Amino acid sequence: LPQGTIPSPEVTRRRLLSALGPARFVQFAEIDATADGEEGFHYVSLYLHRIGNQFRVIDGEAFIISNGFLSSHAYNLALVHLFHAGGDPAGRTAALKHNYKKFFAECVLGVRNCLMGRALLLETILFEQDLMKPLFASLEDNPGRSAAASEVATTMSMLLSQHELGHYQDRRSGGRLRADAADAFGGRLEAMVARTEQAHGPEPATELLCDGVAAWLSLTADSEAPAEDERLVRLRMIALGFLCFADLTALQKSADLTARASRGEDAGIRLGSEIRSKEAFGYTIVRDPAMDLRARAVVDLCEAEARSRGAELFGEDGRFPLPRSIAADLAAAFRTFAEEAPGPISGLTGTDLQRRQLVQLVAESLHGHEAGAEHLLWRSKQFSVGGQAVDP
Amino acid sequence: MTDLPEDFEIALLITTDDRDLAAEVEAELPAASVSASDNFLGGTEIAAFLLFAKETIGGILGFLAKKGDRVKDAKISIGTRQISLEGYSAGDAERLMGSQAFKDAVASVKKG
Repeated sequence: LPQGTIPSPEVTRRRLLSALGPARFVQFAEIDATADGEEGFHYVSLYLHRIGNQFRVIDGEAFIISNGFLSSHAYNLALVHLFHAGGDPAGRTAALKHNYKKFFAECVLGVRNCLMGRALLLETILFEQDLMKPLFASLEDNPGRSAAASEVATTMSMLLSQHELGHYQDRRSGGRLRADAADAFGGRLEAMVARTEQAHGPEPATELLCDGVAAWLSLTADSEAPAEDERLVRLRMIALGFLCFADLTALQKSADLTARASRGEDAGIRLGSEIRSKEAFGYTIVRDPAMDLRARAVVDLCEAEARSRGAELFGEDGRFPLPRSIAADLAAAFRTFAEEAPGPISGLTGTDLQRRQLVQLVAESLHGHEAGAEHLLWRSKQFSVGGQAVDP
Repeated sequence: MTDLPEDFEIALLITTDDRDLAAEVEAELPAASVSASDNFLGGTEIAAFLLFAKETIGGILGFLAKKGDRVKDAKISIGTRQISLEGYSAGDAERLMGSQAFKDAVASVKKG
């Protein structure tokens, strides 16, 4: 556009989509300004294979971007959590590992079409589908479980949107969000933000402030105060949500590093060669210390809030149990999600060395086949938009 | 590259942990309309929207050559295609514009 020209809404939307990348199922909603001076914004839901949840202003228009990728994986993690509650720890770990592997593989392929992403995704599709099948089958007899898993996914999605809205409000109000949230969690959020600012600086403190405000709004946004047991359920969902965020964020960052580090390995693939590849294909796994800190802080806030109401955040009771071992359970799955399982394996419940070697061959054959990788990504799951299945 | 559609816009996309970089993009590429995100992941994604020209590509690569140590990832977006700028240095505008990925992206814009 010539300088000085005011972009049309179509140009602004095109710019937004250009900044976001190859998103699908994009839907725009306008949130109107309120009579008491709250500015309006655009809420954009879409699907993109990365944690693309963000807030941005383009041409003076504010956009909150909500990505179904994260909430769909959150739903599956919550389902694993509920299905295996109080049950076999090995089954739970295997199912968690499968979901972490799938998330990681999709993130890698979201960056670029590389062998490691294809191979790990193929493992989940070809050799691990029995890990989740009984969970989905169980929903027919247990609609409450599906509802609870959906509630966790919605809570996690809302936490992200509220976090981004927190940034927006803080900026618009000239940094007043902290003062406005002074009473949240009985003043404990403010104390925690002050400590974080002192120890780590203003940016981590602002991130924690937005996390805390999002958690507080998630707990209190209803016009009618929920019953105490429902408040405890919400606190547990928020805590589980942030523990999952910490792992999924680390997986996204690991996937970014893996995709970029593997360019040389991929270049060594010789399609059509009768000689097996001798390359050791690798992946990089990192934690995100800043997000770990934020997650721990929110869990602490939730635990203190529960105690102040005479309840315990961690417990096997109620319609949404949260065992004290939850952080350790997730960590065990995170540490080992990409490792092969010791064989032999019965059924499609894991990937051992033999299966991994088969998968490598198939994944190699898709080298340089961008459309093939795209097909794997978009056809290996089912999508719905506005409650309607895309492929009924 | 003589067969380009006229007046089409490209976007420089930068992923960085350095929020101050957005202001420097604005200063170095004054014709750009710049937007920086707040990401839940932390850090920011800067998008600079510019009219396409060979000089634009040269300006982008020159900027990245100067500030690249503060950039985690850089791409240009043409239409719906994104092209990584990894491996291109300040004087590589011709090489980038001659790449297959670039030609495919421009072709997608021409198709509309």
